[in-house]
Amino acid sequence: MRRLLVVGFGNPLQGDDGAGPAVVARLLAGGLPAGCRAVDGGADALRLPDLWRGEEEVLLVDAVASGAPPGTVHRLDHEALLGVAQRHATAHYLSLPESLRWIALAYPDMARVRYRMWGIEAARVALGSGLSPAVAAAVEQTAEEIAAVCLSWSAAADPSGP
Amino acid sequence: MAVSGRNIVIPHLGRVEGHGGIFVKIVGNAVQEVNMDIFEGSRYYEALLKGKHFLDVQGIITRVCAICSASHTVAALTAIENALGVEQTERVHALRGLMLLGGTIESHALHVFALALPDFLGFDSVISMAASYPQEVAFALRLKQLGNQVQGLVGGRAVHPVNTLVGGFGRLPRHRELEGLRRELVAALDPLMRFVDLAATIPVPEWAAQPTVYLALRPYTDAFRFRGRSICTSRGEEYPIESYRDVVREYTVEHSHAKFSALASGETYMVGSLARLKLWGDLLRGRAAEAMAKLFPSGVVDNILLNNWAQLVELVHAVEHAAEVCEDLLGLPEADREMVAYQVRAGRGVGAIEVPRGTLFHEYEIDAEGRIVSANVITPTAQNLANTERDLRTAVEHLLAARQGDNDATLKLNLEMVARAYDPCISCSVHLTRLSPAAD
Repeated sequence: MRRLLVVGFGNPLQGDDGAGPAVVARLLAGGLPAGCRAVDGGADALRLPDLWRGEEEVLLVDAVASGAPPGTVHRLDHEALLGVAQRHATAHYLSLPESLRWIALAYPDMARVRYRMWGIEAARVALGSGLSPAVAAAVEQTAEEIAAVCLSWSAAADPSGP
Repeated sequence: MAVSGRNIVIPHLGRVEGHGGIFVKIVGNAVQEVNMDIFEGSRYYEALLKGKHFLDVQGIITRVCAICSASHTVAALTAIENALGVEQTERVHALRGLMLLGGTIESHALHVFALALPDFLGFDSVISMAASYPQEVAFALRLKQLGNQVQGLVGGRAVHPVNTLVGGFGRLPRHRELEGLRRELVAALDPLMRFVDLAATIPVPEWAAQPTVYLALRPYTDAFRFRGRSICTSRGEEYPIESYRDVVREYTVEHSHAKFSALASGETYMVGSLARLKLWGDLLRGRAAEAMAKLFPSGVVDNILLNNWAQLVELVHAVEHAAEVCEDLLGLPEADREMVAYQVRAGRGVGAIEVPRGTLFHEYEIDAEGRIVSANVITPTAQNLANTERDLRTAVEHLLAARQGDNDATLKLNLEMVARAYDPCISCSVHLTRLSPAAD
């Protein structure tokens, strides 16, 4: 059976940077269909190979900064995500796109993975927990969209289905 | 012709992003001002811990930083156990050491391969480097993951360990897990040594070089180790770790959110890989000693840019020694958990550990009920700040004198290389993807 993985990246101790893990928490609370898995990826996207168990498709959720209004949900397909120029996220962490590019070089098995990303425009990224209202609403919206993707994926992937 | 009256501002440090920044003011050919500012998250945690039970400390303090989580955990547990008079068993000591080595492998692999080597080889990123060094770039990420794997096996997960407890471990790795890990570590040594050979061919600029005082812990045994009981400087001084506040004099400066540090003499100093090799490099053995001989044929010389190569030597040591520790642990009988019984009592304890960026100090005062009365954390990055400013000033002066500093872009890149060589940990816990407006 084909499988799908959802990973939320970010740090819940840094305000809206916790949007990715918040989406994962919503998905886990709501339950996921067979063949779909969701995990909190923390702040280091290079850990993705440790979280991956052979899934063909990986849906990623991360807080983003683009200048758009807070709470804007950006949707990027595989090519658009890998084409994002940003290289470094922080002192020790490469950006998500740069991490995915490096992972593809180091783990040939993962080169076939197709990625999709939901990016939630952050309003406040600073020490402290809790999401700003616009981002909290975007988290709900993103979780609903991803849950729907999981349902349709599971229905299509299940050989016993219609 | 000399460039007059200009400011070089690096609002964030390129690959070392955060709230940090460098400001340099140049008038004519003279450097008037060099300031470095960073945001230091660990100070918030000191206040947060007051009134909490000592058993809650490690779960909170580890959140200072994900990549430094093993380091903060071991430093905190050591300080608390010293306050309570708890002795570590042989196995607990070995396992904590193994977890620290895993953290060093992860941290040094990422810094040397993804952040430093591209600079020295003239690439703008590790991905660009893959065009010329595909196997090396692939191996580098797998080595970083091996560091995560070590921490995951010992700590229960790759970041923010949960198996580690005051007095012992809640779960011990199985022998078959340790044997599997040992084999992977041993297999990583040959490819790692090829990086040493590559690094040995790369010329390292000398425009930041100047005499430096180094500080590191004396290893607890007659070998190169990341734990010790006394603080030593390259000037021959030695102090017990309990007197760290007399050795590391903290002070505030107007331009920085973080406290700076100097020795009692007022001299700035450097902590980290280069300091450890300067003081204890002659204690390295095996492949790590080979790496040291190749990268430092005349011994450690005063040039902060060589800290990257010092990290590479330590990376070889960490992989090699981690395999040895696995072997030692395999010699002990398999067990599910290991805990030492202890009594809660009022006390004060210091924990000092050599972590990837240098010497880390934790101190806790505990009351008779086990609540934290006070906490003090001094990070390596904070200790290195004053020395970083000093090296940045020297770099600018040398580059201007050599007529290599007229171009702002070149000067900025060179200053970033100096700051990055210290591998500073600066507000490193945010993970944002930056999109251009056209990306959605």
